[in-house]
Amino acid sequence: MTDNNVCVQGLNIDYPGSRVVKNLSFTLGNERLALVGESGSGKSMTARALMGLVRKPGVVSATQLSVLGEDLLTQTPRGWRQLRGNGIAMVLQDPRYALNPVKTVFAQIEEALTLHQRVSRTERRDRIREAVLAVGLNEAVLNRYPGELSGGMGQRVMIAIALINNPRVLIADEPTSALDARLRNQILELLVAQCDQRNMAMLLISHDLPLVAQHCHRVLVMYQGEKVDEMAAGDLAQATHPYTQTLWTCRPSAGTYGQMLPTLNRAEMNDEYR
Amino acid sequence: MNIVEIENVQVVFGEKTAVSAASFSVAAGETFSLIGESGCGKSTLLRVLAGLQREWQGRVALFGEPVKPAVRFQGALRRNVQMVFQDPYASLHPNHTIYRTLAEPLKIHGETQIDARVKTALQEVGLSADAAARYPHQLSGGQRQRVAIARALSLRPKILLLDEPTSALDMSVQAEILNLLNRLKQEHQMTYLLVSHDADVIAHMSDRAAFMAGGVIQRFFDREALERGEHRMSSSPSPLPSP
Repeated sequence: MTDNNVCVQGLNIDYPGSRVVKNLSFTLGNERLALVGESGSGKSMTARALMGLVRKPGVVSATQLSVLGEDLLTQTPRGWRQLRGNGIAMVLQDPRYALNPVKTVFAQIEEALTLHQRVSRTERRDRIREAVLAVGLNEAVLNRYPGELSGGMGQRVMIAIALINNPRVLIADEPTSALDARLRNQILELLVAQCDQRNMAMLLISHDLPLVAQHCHRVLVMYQGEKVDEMAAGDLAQATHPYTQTLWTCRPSAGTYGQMLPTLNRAEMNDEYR
Repeated sequence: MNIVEIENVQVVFGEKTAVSAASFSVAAGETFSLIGESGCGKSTLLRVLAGLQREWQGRVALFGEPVKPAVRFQGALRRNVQMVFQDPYASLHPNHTIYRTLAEPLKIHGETQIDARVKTALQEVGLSADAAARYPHQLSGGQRQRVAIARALSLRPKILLLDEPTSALDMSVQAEILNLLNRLKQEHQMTYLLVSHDADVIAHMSDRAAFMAGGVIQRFFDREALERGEHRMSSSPSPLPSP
């Protein structure tokens, strides 16, 4: 793991009146890294900074911010277009909002392909067919519109779009939180299988620590814009930071029936991080 | 005593039968859950009990009194049955302050000392009194769900209907809301009817549960079955559309 796919040093993201990501540093080698935290902890903004999608009036600044050796801080629009999709791709949270409702699945996958590569029409068709088969869908979905798909199928289509150009790094921003509990594992297993097959690095963003821990090598925990903890997924049971401990144990189960679940002492946390 | 009894309840929307031949009863003080995939009819059944879905066939009794279809709930029933909806972003009026949202049911039911009651309702769910002056968009998802629970509880209902109360929330906020619900249940001796697709939440909360699929209640689980995780099997992945 000598070559780092993503390298982030001292990342700050500012909005007028608040700093949403504070001095964040991490690297992503050829591995699967989970970025975990509650809503508002800055995990999605970090992903957006890596894709160059932080909207005005947001300002990104960092000592170093690079993907596949490309410096993101000085990237031109043309450079961004080449990097996105090819180098780094993103799967968004909710397929009901992220897909174009008036285009067929085929047209949407094809769009991603034509924007980045010059391939003949027959080859395009073959590759699109392969892509949907790889994510466990059948070819019939290609002629459907997003409104005709279930949540799990929509999410698979988004994964197919992200993977069509064989990116080196995949960012999955809460890919399962719009789904039923039973679909979550299926989608995560699909992502992991694709990563292994394509030798692709993944940054998985989620608020469900026990779920992602099963599927990632390393875990990075964020709270209110700061990194509070970083460790190998296997060591989570021995986590010492109170926030990590709470996230690790707050999942309800049959064993917790009749008991109170562990929750955060927010007042204490805020004192520490102000 | 069974305070909810339903027998052979059927709900039909045009061509589609949303619920068919549903029968179960819930004893006072119990937490009874319905588990199933989206679209299996569990929320529709809850809406029948809330008096929101008034077109149905069969027999429903609340507190031992029969309820008729196509008739609005009257009198004490309107106070005794309250519901918390799934999406805290959609269930609060965006143009009303939290005070107005919480004061409205109290005014309708002719309560006095409304200011003080709103303040206690907020305190009960762990919000500070100054939240009353805010609008829903100024609160986080977890805070909004607390407001929705405070609104439902301010009339001291005997039955609380919970339609996926935590599925729109973060894992750590979910733990806080579930704790809140369990604490309030003990304090006010309520009966809960919980709908969820999350087997972990069901196992944590329920005394008994029922699994629904295709509008039909397939089977019931007692506490031992829930401990053994049998309700997981019935909600295990259905086969994918074949490639």
